[in-house]
Amino acid sequence: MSMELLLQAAVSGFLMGGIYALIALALALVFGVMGVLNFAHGDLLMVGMYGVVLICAATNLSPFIAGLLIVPAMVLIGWVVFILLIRPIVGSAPLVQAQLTIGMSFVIQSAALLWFGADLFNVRSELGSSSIRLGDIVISAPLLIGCLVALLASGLLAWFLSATIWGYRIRATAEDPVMAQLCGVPVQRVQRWVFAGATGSLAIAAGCLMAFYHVTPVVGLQFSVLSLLIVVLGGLGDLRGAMVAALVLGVAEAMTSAIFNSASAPAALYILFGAALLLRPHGLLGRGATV
Amino acid sequence: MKLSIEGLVSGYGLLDVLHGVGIEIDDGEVVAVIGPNGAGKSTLLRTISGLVTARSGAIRYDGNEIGGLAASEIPRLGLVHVPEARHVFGRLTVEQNLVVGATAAPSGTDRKKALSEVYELFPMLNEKARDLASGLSGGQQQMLAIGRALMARPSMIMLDEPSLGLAPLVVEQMYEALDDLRRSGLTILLVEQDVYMALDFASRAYVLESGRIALAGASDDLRDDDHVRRSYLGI
Ligand SMILES: Nc1ncnc2c1ncn2[C@@H]1O[C@H](COP(=O)(O)OP(=O)(O)O)[C@@H](O)[C@H]1O
Ligand SMILES: [Mg+2]
Repeated sequence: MSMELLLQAAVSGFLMGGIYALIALALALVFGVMGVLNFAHGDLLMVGMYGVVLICAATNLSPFIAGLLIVPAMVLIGWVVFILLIRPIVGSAPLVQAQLTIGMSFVIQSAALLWFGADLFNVRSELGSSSIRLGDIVISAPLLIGCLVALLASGLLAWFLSATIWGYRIRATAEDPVMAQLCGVPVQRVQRWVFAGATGSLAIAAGCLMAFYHVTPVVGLQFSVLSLLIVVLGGLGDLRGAMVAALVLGVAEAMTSAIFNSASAPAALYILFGAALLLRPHGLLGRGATV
Repeated sequence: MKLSIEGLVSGYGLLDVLHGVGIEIDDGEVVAVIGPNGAGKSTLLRTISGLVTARSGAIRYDGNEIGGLAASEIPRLGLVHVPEARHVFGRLTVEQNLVVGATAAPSGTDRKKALSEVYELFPMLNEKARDLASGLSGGQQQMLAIGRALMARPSMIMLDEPSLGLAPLVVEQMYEALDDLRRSGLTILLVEQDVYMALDFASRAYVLESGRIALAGASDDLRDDDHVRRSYLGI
């Protein structure tokens, strides 16, 4: 195993981790604000990815632009899903929440299978397979841009939460919803908007992914599992921890694939995950809730 | 009449905690509710502020029934609840806590002005404006909880055991600030463990025992009452 190959894997993994960060941030925000771990998170992302495919096929636009264009549609989907399915289970037992969101995941998968079939779709992006060479390392241009766009979106989200009044109210709701109500914060409305907004941000992630990746009806599962890992690893409810965990997992996944093979990556991630939980039960940065 | 409550029944699950409570508070009055642990004092405040739904009875604020309103609507009417155990948002800074408190302020309120008034009342909050609220001492958190409530520009405030767990000197400081608020005309409903403190500060008091008003009257009269002396003042 050459040094270059490992370094190459680390760089690509880091870039992929940037996109994971955006996906996981949306999940972490939903969990933080309404206490629901959404097992259909990746499937909502998958819906966004098909949306990007449709827009790109119809218009020849770049997948990044297509991702932006479907943000309103994804916000609307998030809004409806919240009202029909999520609101009734806010505050329910975790097992009930898991059952309902896993069921939702199956329904979305089946619908995608009926609609698009099992074929693999991708988008012919103008960037194609172009790449940038840095010494011995080759960086795929769509991956690099995807990572930058995702990090920009994550940064915007972080800024919104930390520096605006509605951001304060959202964080107050996440920490103590009863007290937030006593302060006049309309907690249900906040939860609805957070779920819709998080779903909307998945549209951006979908655009980034479709610049170099493919979509199938089952692609959601891997992203659900990955972002659940990231959120728990980062420390439940700790957004900054989730960002760090996403980058760590991205690198770990790519390095394991490079050293062994891609089939071993999920197992390696779980081993890393188990070890991290034993050593740091409150998340990588030690600031989240206990698992 | 600022607040008038009649025949209030409320509780949790199958259990009634309040069995027909009635209290009245005039505009600008300071009234205390005292009583043993578990009597239902906190439940009374939670029912008024909409966290617990009343099972029967009337809660009229400024002459309007507020019984069915959501907990997030009631502070918008100018009636704010500072709950037991303070509940500051530990992951927010002191100033962010205050800004969240302003959510219920009437539209068009000058938030800067409200902030500077709270900082004038509690200069310590100004010094710690950028610190995380979780790092404050108990007394500082209580002042933050009161300051946050004032950001809503209330005309009536309900305080649940504000002196609980605080050092005597800190309690004194806090009551000095509350005295300023009283003199500015704020209506105050005070629940206190410390019966001396409560009767000193309030002009009238209700004694709540097992979910019923056992006794009510002017603070001076209650201080001389045999039952109150024996049960609460330890004389
Ligand atoms: N969230 C709750 N769920 C069920 N019972 C409660 C709850 N909060 C309080 N109680 C019960 O209601 C009664 C009154 O409690 P509380 O209003 O807190 O009394 P106080 O504030 O006077 O000490 C107690 O018996 C208590 O156990
Ligand atoms: Mg109490």
